[in-house]
Amino acid sequence: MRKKLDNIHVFSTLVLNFVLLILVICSDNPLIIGGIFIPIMCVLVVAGKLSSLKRSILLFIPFAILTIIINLIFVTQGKTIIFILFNRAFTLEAFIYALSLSFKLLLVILIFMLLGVMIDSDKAVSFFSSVMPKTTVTMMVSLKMFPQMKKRMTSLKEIYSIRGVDFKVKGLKNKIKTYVPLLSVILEDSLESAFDIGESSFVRGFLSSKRTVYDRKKFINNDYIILFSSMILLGTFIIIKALGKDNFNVYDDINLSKIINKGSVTIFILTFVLAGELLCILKEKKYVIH
Amino acid sequence: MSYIKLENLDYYYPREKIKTLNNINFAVDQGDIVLITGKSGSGKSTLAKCITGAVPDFYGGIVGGNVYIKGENIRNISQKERAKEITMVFQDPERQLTMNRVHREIAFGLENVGTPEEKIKRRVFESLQFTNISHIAYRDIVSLSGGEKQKVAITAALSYMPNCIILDEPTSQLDPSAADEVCAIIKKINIELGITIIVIEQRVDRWFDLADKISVMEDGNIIFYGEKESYYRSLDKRLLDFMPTYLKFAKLLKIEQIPEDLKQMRNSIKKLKFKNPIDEVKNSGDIIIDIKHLFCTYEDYEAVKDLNVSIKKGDFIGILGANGAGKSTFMKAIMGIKKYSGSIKVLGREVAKLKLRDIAGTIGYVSQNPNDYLTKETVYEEIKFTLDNFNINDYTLIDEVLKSFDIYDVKDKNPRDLSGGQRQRVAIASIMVVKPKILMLDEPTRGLDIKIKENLGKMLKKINNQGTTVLLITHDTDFAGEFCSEFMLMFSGEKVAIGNREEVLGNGIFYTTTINKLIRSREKNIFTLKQAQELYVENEETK
Repeated sequence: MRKKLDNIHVFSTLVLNFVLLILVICSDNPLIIGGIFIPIMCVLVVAGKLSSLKRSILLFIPFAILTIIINLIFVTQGKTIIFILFNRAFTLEAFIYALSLSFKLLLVILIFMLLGVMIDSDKAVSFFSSVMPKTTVTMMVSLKMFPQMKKRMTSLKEIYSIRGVDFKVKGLKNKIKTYVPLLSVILEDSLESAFDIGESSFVRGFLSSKRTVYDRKKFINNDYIILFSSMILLGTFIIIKALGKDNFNVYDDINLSKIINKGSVTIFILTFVLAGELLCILKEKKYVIH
Repeated sequence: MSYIKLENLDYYYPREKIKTLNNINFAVDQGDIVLITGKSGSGKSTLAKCITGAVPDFYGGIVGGNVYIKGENIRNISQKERAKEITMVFQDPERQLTMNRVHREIAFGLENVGTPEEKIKRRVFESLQFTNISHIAYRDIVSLSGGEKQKVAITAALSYMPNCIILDEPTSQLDPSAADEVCAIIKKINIELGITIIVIEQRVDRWFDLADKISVMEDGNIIFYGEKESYYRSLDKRLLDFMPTYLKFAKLLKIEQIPEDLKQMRNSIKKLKFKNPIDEVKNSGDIIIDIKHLFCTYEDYEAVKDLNVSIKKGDFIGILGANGAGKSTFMKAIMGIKKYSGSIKVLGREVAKLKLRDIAGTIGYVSQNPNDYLTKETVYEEIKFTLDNFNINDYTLIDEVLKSFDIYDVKDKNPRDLSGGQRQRVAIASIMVVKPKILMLDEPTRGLDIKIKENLGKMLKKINNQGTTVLLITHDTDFAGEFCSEFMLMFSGEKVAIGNREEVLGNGIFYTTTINKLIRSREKNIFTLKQAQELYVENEETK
């Protein structure tokens, strides 16, 4: 599967994820956002990330419940009353809005997960460093440092606990005070580490000339399919928005015709088609012994 | 014409008033292996950086004199051409690898210097094959061991097919087996490909036999440069510290002709006789740490398996074993910072039932990196910090510990401005100020030069003689053999041997001291140079 994903160009992956992100942000229509979930789910499942997908959804449920409760308490807008408590009306519209908002947030997280699955970080670095080398190396060094800093923080906490520092101390001021020595070590360490990586890169000729690219990925048919489908999806969405075919606002009126209309159905079909294309692209070739 | 020539080279780091390099004249012939050694801070790495061009192009500072590569002044060579000609492998593999996967890391440098795209893949995989690590080509770098990471760094350097590779203490962070593998790769690169190798190393035992020429630096000056033969014959006592142990012994025996290697040295002394060493007196102190059926996990695997050991008051135990043997996990479990099953009793109390603060009053633990302990403005403040955390108001303890560790005269200095050895002492003092009964150290000799290491050993011995039980993890069997009284050998989380020098090192194949390896066929219970010197019976053949 990794090989199949590796064959997709970084640029096509970025465009696909960017389009999905725009759709999630710009639409409130449950049919459209539900449609976006289909290609995301398909790729994650085929890429063997079903357990991560399940875990994300499970972890998200308490957040969704909390959002719904808060929205129901503070927002009284809406016509369809579900129940009244302490003279306060709890509306179906507030419920649906919170649910849809939570789902949109989940989708944003899943899109970033999808990006992580589809893009191999080294491949991305190779691609971007041929386009913008300085920015890429800075990003690269920074990104490498975070996990290292996390690891260092754990070992430093052990060392300073042994030196008698009480990390369970109460009060924000005291808490900050206990972490100051750790942060000072980590800061110095990070600076030294960044300097060393910089020196190593310099000695290895980084920025000495125009870089060539190892294992340069060319656009193949699959990339054209992904790019074309993403563009069609984005173009259709823009046209539908411009024509006012998707102006669904949950607080205006919960009307099925506003959710299921020509515009939203078109987008839904397109996301469905996109999911099918991605499944075909990621389908493993089966070898048979004759 | 020399391949590399340094002519009257001076260098000041930015904002420094003291020269780091002082009038260096040095020439390297193509295809040679040159070993540059010397104390910490003597200017070895700076010299290497002058050859790569990182000094002054990356560091800044003021340079005097000239560096020539194949007769051309380095100032006239572009960064790209210089990177293709000479490359460098650094001490810490963690701080030189930029990409996430091995094959892409190898390709990174080739991409930088604009190697034609159709050639990169071949170079990458041929280099991986040459260094025998093609099986890890697609592995994530974070999942590799230290030795594998260093091999990746060397392969990345090799992939350019440069004319010279400089290695700055390439084995200082590795365990002995990994270090031997790295040495073997370097030898292969030099012999088969004819690439000039410059190795900077404080611990010369592993590299001396490989080298064609030796250079010793002191305070920014080269105090010796030449063939091994003249190095051996030199009467300069400063050079003695940077000789491999077997050569030091040969010098003591006044053997005239330099033995080429350990094998020849063994032949030279085969008629030598030794007196029997006196049996060491067994420690009969009370049990201070009692461990029964200890199991610990590290990430997903069982790092310590069914370990039973009793440590007596006054023991000085060296814990030996390869990386991943479970040594650090074992120590952390005793300290109470690692969960375990089984029983660890310190002074009769179960560790799992104690608070870390209470354990820290009894056991001091010093991790690998002394810099982790240095956060205050002065050495005095650093020690006081520990006392304040334990709510101890008796500040006379600070002066006491500073004097005891011989760092009283630097008490008002910033600890980060001190030398490596002094920093190590400050770190240990910051733990010892609360007078723990047990001191545990995780690889305290890592990266230390021979003098600093010796001083550290003496200091630990002094603490031990004063009644503190010491547990020390180390890969340095020569150091352990000299200063420890008891030894524990671990493999794959299990204790495979425990006892005194005779019992553990005396029966060891690989885990024993250099001197023991040299003379065990004659006398199996001699482990240190001092012992060998004291116990050999002079005969006609060695005169």
